[in-house]
Amino acid sequence: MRESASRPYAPLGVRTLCVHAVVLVAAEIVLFRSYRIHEAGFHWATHFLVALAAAALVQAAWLLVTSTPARGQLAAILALHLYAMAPDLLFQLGVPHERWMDLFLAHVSAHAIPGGDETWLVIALAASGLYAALLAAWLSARRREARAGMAPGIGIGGIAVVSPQADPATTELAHVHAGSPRPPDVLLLHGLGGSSAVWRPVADELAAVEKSVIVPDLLGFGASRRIGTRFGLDDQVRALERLLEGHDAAPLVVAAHSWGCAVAVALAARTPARVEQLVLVSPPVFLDPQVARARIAARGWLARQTVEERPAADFACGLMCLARGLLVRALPRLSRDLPAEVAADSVQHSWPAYRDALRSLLVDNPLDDALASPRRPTMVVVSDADTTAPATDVNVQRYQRVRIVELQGNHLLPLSRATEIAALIVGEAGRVTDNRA
Amino acid sequence: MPDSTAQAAPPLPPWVPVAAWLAGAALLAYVVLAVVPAPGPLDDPDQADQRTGFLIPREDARRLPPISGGLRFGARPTLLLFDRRTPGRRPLQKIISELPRGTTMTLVLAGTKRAGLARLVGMPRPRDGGYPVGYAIVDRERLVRYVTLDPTYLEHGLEIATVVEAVE
Repeated sequence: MRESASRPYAPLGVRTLCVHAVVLVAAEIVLFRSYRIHEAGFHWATHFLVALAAAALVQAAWLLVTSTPARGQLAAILALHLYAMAPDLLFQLGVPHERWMDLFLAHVSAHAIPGGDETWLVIALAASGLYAALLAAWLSARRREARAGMAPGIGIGGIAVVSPQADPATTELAHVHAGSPRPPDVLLLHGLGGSSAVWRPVADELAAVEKSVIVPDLLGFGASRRIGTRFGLDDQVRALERLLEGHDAAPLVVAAHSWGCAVAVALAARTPARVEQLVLVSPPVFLDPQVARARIAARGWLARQTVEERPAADFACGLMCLARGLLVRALPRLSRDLPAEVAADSVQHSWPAYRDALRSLLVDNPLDDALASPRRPTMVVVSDADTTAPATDVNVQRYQRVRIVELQGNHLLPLSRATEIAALIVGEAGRVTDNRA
Repeated sequence: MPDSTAQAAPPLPPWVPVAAWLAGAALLAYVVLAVVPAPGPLDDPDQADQRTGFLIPREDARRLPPISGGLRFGARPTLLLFDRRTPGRRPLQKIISELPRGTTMTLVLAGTKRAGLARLVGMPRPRDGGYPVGYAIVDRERLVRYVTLDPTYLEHGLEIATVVEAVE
């Protein structure tokens, strides 16, 4: 899948399709003649139609899950036809048909369908028609994205398979504006796989003291899941700039959680005038990317596939995109230690958004430099029981110019220590018990 | 993702898959409905039951009496050829030459004393409702393991031999 991701349109190349079409037609003529010599033309038809239906359904499923057309668009039909007729080749070698040969695309049972080949013709045309319509919708969506000047939304699952992503240049990030109606003076950025819901308790605390708080869902996450096709730090920063411009934001305090810290320092680097102060909560500094990869991979099979960007991760995330509606309802019941909104939003992102966010931490992570040489007042909040971004990663010797506060809790400090985080944001550090003090 | 794909429109316009499907559907419908031969009067009304290559399981097979239609069954596997008229000698000899050694082959013609064997072994009735043209295979236990209509059985010696060998 990594190869197809690098050349997403390769399976649809005109020359490739033409060559495959010629090979398919020529091979099928030979096969048809060989069956007809044995007075078994209807056998050819049955197995070809079954193979066509199977190829169409497999390719439709592939497109839905990976949002990328499968390789061998037409060759798959021939391959599956040869597979389906394998028992006939075995028969030529002296092996009669047996029930287990239904493993070859229902080789034995396929003939018993009521209506015979006419029924299979209807099924094959329906399946291939469905795939043709799906592929046409996918092409149309990618074409509209290209027309808007966007990169193609390859690999963005769910509804994005058939519907173009919104252009971040013209579509504002989804966000919550809490507290005072004046232009925002606090910006809260969520972490990887999160959404603005993670900051809701803190935003409520800040709103209570008349702060004007803006909490966006970053590109590709939460309610901004349908915006954009690229999700690198630069893309996130540009989208945030447009959001802040739209709200006439003055220099503000930017508080960020986890991966959002990387976005925050990238925003500060690109538009220094906008950022008055940084409050970085549980920043994944990841000084040694190999250690970080190993740490993430140790969290489970899917985490390992994800951090190594293996096709299985792409595939698993694609399946989750297809099942998103179900997961959004189920996760709040399964993750009882999280607020329902946070649990539901944990699947409101696509694989490319997640992958690009992870890459920004594991490759060219900007946090170390930003903390070693801060250009504006910066506070780092870590927690004693954080295994994702351990407090020990925040090197006190190297980061002498930032203020470091350690709280009791896990990685999700904005949820578990909302009052203390809000106090630190408004500059009332005296209300907070610092573990390190 | 490399920059080569940035802002790249797909190589195909969206109407191409739909147009290709329409053309393919028309061609396929023509091939399946017009080019693939329709069953003839001597074929099985349900083509799925003709030349299945699938042996009847022992537990479902009919057992013939030791002597049926004047023939003795049980000593050897027996191939019963059913036809409406006497086939040519050479095609028959070709079939015999392809059969495994020790197989008994008997031609059962319509209108003869043995014609009742067709009903006894359960030969299907062809579309024209007349006497079946095809073959049946009876194993050493007198079980009828294979019956099929096959108007062109004379050309299918290898196919018949494969099934007889499987019965053995």
